[in-house]
Amino acid sequence: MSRGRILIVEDESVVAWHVEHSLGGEFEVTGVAASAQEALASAAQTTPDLALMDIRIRGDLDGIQAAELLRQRHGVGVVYLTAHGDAETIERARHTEPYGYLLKPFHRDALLDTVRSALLRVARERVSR
Amino acid sequence: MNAPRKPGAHAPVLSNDLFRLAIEAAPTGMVMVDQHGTIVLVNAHLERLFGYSRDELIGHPVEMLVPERFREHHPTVRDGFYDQPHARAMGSNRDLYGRRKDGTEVPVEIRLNPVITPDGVFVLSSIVDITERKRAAAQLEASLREKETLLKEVHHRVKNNLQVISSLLSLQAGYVADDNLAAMLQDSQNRVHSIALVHEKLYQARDLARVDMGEYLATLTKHLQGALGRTEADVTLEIAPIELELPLDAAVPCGLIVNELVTNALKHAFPGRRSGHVRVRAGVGDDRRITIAVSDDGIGLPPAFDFERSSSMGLRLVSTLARQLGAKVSVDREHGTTVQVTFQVPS
Repeated sequence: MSRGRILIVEDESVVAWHVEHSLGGEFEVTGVAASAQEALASAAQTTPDLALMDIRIRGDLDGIQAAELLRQRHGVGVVYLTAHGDAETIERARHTEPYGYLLKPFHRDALLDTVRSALLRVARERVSR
Repeated sequence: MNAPRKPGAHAPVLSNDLFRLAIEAAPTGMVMVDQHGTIVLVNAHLERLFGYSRDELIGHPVEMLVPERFREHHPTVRDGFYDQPHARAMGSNRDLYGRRKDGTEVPVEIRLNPVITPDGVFVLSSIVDITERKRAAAQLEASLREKETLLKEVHHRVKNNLQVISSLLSLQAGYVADDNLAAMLQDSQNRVHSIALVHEKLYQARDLARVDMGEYLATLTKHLQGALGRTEADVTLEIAPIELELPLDAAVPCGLIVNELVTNALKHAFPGRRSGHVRVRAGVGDDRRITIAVSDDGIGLPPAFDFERSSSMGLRLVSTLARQLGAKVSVDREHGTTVQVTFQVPS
């Protein structure tokens, strides 16, 4: 499989840079979006394998709604990377069938492990389709 | 509505002027019914509360004051009272409502009192309009919910900002060539992370005020193992089950102390690729003192090592934070090293 292609959806630019830097060596970052609209536009152009999604993002739609739209319109699954650790948010997020849920502040190794296993699942699902 | 029954005028209690005056002067709505549920006496307060005149009430079933949806069941409730006639609140743990003449409902609190006379048992009820109390309670609840939302928002923002700091430190580490300097930045990132985790656990806590230290220390040590896992030694990190909750101002220094002690053990206790074991435990003793201990079975501290005078930033941090907690730090050098921090449970 070629290098996994990741869309980062994060409205905090320093954190987005950190995530991009952490992923950079191993994966291809197809874009950095700060809102659901930007994420959808970026996915339409670059067809990433996976989105790393913050939940509180810029704009009217939050990351969970953005994840739902990314899956419906572009078949892109998500790994959440968020500071939201409460049961209610996790339950809402669960309905979008994410490949993972990472809490901030994140550790690079945990991020890479989660993204690797998410991409394996993406690849397997593509083969079985 | 049934035709008015003859009020129980035969009952001597009702012809007692003093009794009537006392009922009239009561600060709540008062209504007395006979064994058939017929209203035999009301006061002016009750007239105002329900919007009926006295003449419209006396001789009629008390069910006229009960909302229609409860009316059918009410005679059974009344009979139940007569089976065990003693003073008590009506419908405890249930919301009670009265029905006014204009059909509107009013939330009420009702106390029932049997009045035993030679002519039978009457029930004297005092009825209080609790509209204002309910409104105040609803306002209080809304304000508590608002406070909770606000607190969650604050913890969320603090955590987000700590993530930005953590990201800055990590990115900075990528720009330095000196490995020692990069390691220092990593240590700083871990310290920030240990504080951020307190906010995460608080955010998840029921009361948003106290941190479950068992969960917290388990997550913290797991993170440290990930962050420092590439040290030379193959170290297993074990955390004993902990049942302890601490407020924010004690949880942060405790977290930082454990962060430093575990970091120190992982980095220095097992040089030369030997395997080892680090154990974290915490608990509350019978004397209500909290003990947090980090043990390792590594090479041990140098014989001349003085914890208090150490030049290591991490260990000075432990001493400083221990002082802040009013804690005593002791070092046991048997079978490796155990550093134990003991302090009084904060109120």
